Amino acid sequence: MTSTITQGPTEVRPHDSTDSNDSVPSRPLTIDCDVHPTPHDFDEFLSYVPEPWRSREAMAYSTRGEGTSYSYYVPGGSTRKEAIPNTGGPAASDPYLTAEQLLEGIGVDIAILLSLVARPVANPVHESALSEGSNRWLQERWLHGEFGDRYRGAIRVCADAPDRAVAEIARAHDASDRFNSVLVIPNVLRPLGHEPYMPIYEAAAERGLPVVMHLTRPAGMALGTPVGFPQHFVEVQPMYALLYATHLVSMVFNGVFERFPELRVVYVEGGIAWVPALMRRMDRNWEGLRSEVPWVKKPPSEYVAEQAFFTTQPIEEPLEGPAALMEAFAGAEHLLSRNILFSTDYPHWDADEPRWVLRQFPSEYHGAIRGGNARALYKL
Amino acid sequence: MSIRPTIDCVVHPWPGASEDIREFLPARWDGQPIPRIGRYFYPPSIPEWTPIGDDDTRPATSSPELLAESWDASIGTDGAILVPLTRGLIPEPDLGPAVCRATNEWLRAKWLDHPALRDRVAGAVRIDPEDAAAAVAELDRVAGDPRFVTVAVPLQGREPYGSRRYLPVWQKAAELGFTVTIVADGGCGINQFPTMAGYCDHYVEYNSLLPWTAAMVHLASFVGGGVFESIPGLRVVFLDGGADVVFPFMWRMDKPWRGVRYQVPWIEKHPTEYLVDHVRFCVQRAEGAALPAASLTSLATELTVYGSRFPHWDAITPEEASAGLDADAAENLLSGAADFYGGRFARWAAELSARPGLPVR
Amino acid sequence: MSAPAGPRVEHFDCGPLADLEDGGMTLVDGPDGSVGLFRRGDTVYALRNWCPHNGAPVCLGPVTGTNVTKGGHEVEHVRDGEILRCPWHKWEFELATGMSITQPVRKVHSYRVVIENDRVYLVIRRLRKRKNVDTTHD
Repeated sequence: MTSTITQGPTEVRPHDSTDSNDSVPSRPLTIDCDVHPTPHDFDEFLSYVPEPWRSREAMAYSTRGEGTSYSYYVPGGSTRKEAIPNTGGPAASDPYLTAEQLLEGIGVDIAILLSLVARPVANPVHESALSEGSNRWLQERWLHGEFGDRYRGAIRVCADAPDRAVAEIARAHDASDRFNSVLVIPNVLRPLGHEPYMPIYEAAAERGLPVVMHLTRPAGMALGTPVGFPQHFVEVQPMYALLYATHLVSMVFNGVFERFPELRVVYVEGGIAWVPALMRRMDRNWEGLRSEVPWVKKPPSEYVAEQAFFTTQPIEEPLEGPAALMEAFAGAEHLLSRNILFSTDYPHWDADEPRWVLRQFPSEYHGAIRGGNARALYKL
Repeated sequence: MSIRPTIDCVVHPWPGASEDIREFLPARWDGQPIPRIGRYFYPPSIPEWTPIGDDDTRPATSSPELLAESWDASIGTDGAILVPLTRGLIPEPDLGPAVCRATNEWLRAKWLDHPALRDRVAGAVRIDPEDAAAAVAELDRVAGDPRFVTVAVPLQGREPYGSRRYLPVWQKAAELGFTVTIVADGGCGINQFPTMAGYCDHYVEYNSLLPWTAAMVHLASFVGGGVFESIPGLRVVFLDGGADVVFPFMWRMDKPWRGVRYQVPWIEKHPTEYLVDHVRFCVQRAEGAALPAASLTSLATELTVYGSRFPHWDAITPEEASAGLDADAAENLLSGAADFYGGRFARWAAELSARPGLPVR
Repeated sequence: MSAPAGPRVEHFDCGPLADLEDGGMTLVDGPDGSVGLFRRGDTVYALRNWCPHNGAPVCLGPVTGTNVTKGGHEVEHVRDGEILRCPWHKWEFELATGMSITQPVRKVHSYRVVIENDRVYLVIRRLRKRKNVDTTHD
């Protein structure tokens, strides 16, 4: 694979840069692949949602509350307390405080913004409208607001309305090239390699936009497992990995990666240590079962290495120490140099910072994980 | 120095015909259909079960004689646990437990007592955990028979197994000296969606996901529900694998635990700290156990036992399972299950004769 | 001639006790960084505002009780006001000692506090600097 690592945009200013024209930052680039800005209040978001859904949501708001109902609550709250501005909005609703904490404090050069405002709803037309509203809001308030040059965003779409998704990808990407990816919420009732989703991947791949998956815990929607409903949050958080594994397996064996060789898919907040084991498992099964999926032309692990990416947060912290994490990557170290992307998940309670995350890896991979892999993927 | 017998922790005996257990079902069920034993969804493109031969496509263990004749070639260990399949989740009350009881009686009558097998096999008691009272009663009923040495419940359960309503079942199993084994089951009754996102399309997806994702949900539930604290003697074995992903998965449970502990104060330590005392996994071909270059991590290897799952298409032989392991590790894998299973299994294993000269690589 | 070895004890002045809200938390710039002062009546607990897990500003977290179980699922709420919960990953630390309530024990650095003349002091122990030490070797 030839990688085109292009120069960073000229607006990016690493902290210690002088007025040198050298394109290499004076310290390693830090690209954060998972940040969640939120609106100051629900009305701020609603103003971007098309009718009739804007009025429908406004009417429901008074009894249902803000459109953010979800299950398996994080005990003690899901955001960092200090990310809550004193301007009255929720965490990460104030661009200035966010810049101070994320861009300055944590030292992020570029952040990819994934808007989870408004949890998914069951009606795909309604969901598409909320997604459009989310994209318009993100574009105006964050991608082209203060510090906009430091942000890129994902175009949120509803997987179950592929036609509308394709149209929204075109609309949003044409409106702003700071949209650099497509966000698919993976809480769906068919794994995402399923045939009806293909137009979304086609559209994304055509425009060179990676597809980003970030789950949520929507009230009552697609929260199940193959054996029913878990009971506690502490059981559920590990299961994000299972959800992404499901979609990854589906995309491999339904030939999504084969069909769209330019497609890249990022699995966000599901962890990384399970990936090498799943690659081996898929390879072994494919050896025996190839006749069932003749459109899969090469070992699954090759598709994963070429086209699948995984963010670090929440980074695994084995009791046995970082060596145990490295042992999970034995035979798959190439993923560390290409497919593992640093993320904070700011402003959530278990957000990561680079210095702690990088401690879990040998120093030879630090530059790649911190920002080099994301830079190549997102062509920053 | 005595040689320990090698043991295959899971061999699946099949009935010659799906209705064979009918003779052991009470008259109450006359005229009521029960699901067939074959799994319904996702027929593979290759035979799912190794057939008897070209002219007989039934699974290779469709009679005790067949198993006995092919033992050296197909099984190769000194002893084996026979884990029969049942018929999936059955919604009608009483019928699920009745199918389990009939399966146990069929196993007892046709297999455990068979002259060609009786000196080297023991059985798993099938129970239906959905009816805790009936499951407890069934365990009490067979407890006097030393040839039943483990308990088997379906992997494809209706709720995660750490949920409180299952506690009496695990309590009784531990009390009676049974290790609980969890097995991917046959049949088709009702079911939860087979993946985390509904129905996948292909068998290869199903087989790449169901065995370990379901196992991990149950495992998280056992820990999340404090089951290992409530029942310190409980031991669980996942017969269809998961050792390759258990640490990556459970590290993700360790991490939030310290912070959200006060919501689940019955979890007294890091979730991974429960594994070595309470959980094991049968090695699987799909987990790279046969590939020395891509074998399980050292932490994971500690949690493995050997079971072939014969005659499943991807059954793993003792040679494949121990490839790449040094002599001690290989011996421990093939002969060490009794150390973990303990109880009734250990008593049975102690009576097994090891056949010296059986090659263990 | 070298100065005597051994720790040197100094008192770091954090200001008047009256300035501290009873039942609240006040951040001060301590000798090694930010310190959270928790006044409870005439007692003050002082914890370094740095979580041993990932360096979070731990003193910003809520001070609460916690839940325990006596086996089974019967839950009891205990130790109200004694537990500081880190605002990031929510680890629970004893306010009085800085020790985590889970194993393996990790500790928020806690200072001994002395209150004299209604002023609050942190007790700092430092290794004395040794002067005129011959650093050449044979």
